[in-house]
Amino acid sequence: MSLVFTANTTPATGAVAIFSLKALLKSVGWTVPRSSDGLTYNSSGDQITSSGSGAGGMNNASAWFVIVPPGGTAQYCFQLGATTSWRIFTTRFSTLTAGTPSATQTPAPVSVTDRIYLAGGGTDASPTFAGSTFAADGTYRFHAAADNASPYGFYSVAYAIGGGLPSHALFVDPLTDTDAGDTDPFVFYSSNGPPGSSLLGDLDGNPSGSFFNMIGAGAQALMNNPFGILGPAYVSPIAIHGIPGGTQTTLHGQLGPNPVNGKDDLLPCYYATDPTDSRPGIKGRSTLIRFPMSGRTTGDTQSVSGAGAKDWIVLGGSVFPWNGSVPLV
Amino acid sequence: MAKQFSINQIPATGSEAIFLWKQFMKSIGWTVTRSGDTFSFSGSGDVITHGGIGAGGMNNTFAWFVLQAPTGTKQLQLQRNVTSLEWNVSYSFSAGFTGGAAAARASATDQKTINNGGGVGTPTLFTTDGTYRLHMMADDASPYGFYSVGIPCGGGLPTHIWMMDPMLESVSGDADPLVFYGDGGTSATNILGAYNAVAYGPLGNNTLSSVPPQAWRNKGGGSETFGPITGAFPFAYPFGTRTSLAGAYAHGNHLSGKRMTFPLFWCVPTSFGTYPGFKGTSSLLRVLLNPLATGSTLDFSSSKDRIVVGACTLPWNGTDPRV
Repeated sequence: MSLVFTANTTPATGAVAIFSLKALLKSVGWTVPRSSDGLTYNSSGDQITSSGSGAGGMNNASAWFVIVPPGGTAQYCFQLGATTSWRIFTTRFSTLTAGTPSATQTPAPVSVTDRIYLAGGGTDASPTFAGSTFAADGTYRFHAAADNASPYGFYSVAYAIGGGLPSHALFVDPLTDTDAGDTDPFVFYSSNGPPGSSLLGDLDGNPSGSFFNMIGAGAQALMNNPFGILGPAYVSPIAIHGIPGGTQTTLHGQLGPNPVNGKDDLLPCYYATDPTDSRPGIKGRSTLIRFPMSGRTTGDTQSVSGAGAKDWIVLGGSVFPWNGSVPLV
Repeated sequence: MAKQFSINQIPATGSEAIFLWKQFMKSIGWTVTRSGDTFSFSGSGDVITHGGIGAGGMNNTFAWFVLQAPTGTKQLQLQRNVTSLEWNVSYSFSAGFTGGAAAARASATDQKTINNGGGVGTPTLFTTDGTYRLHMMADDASPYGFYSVGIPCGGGLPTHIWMMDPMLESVSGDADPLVFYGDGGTSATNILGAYNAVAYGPLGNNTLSSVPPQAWRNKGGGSETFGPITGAFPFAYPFGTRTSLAGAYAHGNHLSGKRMTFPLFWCVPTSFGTYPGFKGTSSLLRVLLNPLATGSTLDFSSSKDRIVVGACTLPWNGTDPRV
């Protein structure tokens, strides 16, 4: 497993950002089996060859592509509504080969119930788009990373030029420490709201209303039990609290670098459903996300493997793997 | 590495419980380096041969012994106070205990007190004699983690815990990735907590006992400190409302039906003053997420391989514990 990065970019539009994400995923082995530039439907490959407008462009209304990781059974589809507004969905066990795909219409999954919307919704014939997949064009820095080996996790994230909490986050997070009965150990997330702490949290010491409050708002996973009851459930990262001195407090961002080695400590991120959900349970442990125990700001780095490694980047109340460079802010 | 168990015993006294624990630890390779039974002293071996009173007895006032791990330098010393419920428990990282007499425990230049039985706060290690079942586990390979836990006969929250907890995922550079915890008595929720989503006992709230879990911080570094440490517990914020996940799931995991636990992380919060930071992940304790009574078992990696103790679970040997 090795992450490949497209980091420190400043895309002019959301179409440029998603086009670069597509290129990154293809560079680590993903394929585009069908697509459309909004003008021409290609049933056997990638019709989108540029991030701009016109023929072959990503930045045309209703342009879409299906993208598939090597092996496995999941497929993903991205469709542009406007450069800031997207429709994104995944299938977990079905191919996106049904329906009546066209220049402006996405295909449907072979199994009609096997579709999870990460952004937008509607129908293939009458799609709706998420309002704020990206902030206003040209206002943000953009980073993406993708694993070049199974299980092919990836993320993309953006924050305002000059700094601030994330304005975009999209990830497919493979899990470890999962339940023995879990046949789809992944969590999917696409931020579809305005920039701020609701995307990836912050380190204000009070995670309510932030990344930890995703129930009904973002991260999803299948809680499909062995009896075949399918359907996505909302999952939340689990916050970690202590009660030192009798006062309950979150430990996120509250401890500082470790005194033993001077490094930044990171807590693992586990996902769980709401205890009152009809599909209760712990989903598993994230392989992408950890929680910082030192207070840092978005775009800062943390060095865990060694001094100066810069191997994690702070994004709101979370950290993601990083490539060792100084992030552009 | 294999976990060894000695379970379902009802010791007549706290002294017998400690004697049973000593014998159990010796059976997997620990050695007694010095001891005193109040009447005689050995600077090289074990003079305590039974759990009662009189010559060779553990139940004599101020009887004591030093136990050394099979490899390495770590030593633990336990001394009976004026009752069999009160014990002075101390730890030497590397210097080793020296000296001592028939009724006077040894000392070490680096000794740290884990439970000052009968001392400040008059903490005890056990509740009323003969009222609890004793269960013990010890790893027969390095890093030699162990626990001893007492559960009331007939059921109820634990009344005794004595453990050395090696860290999983410890911080690199930590010279002593262990947490020690020795506590007991009748205030049951203040020992290992309860699953009622609030009371985690001294695992999470160091104010609930004069003997919270303790560990070395910055061992080997400048101004190293041995002091209290707190266990961190999982919370969720569904719809913005803070909800503890300890005991919160009425049912097993939807995916498999299994009852659920969560890793317990040891941390030193900034409010503890000196050397805050992350210590590591417990290799013994996992937080209980389902409302189960102490003495229940869970299937984690195999059948009945965890036992419920208060708000947490500990490794178990696959059998049904006597309650």
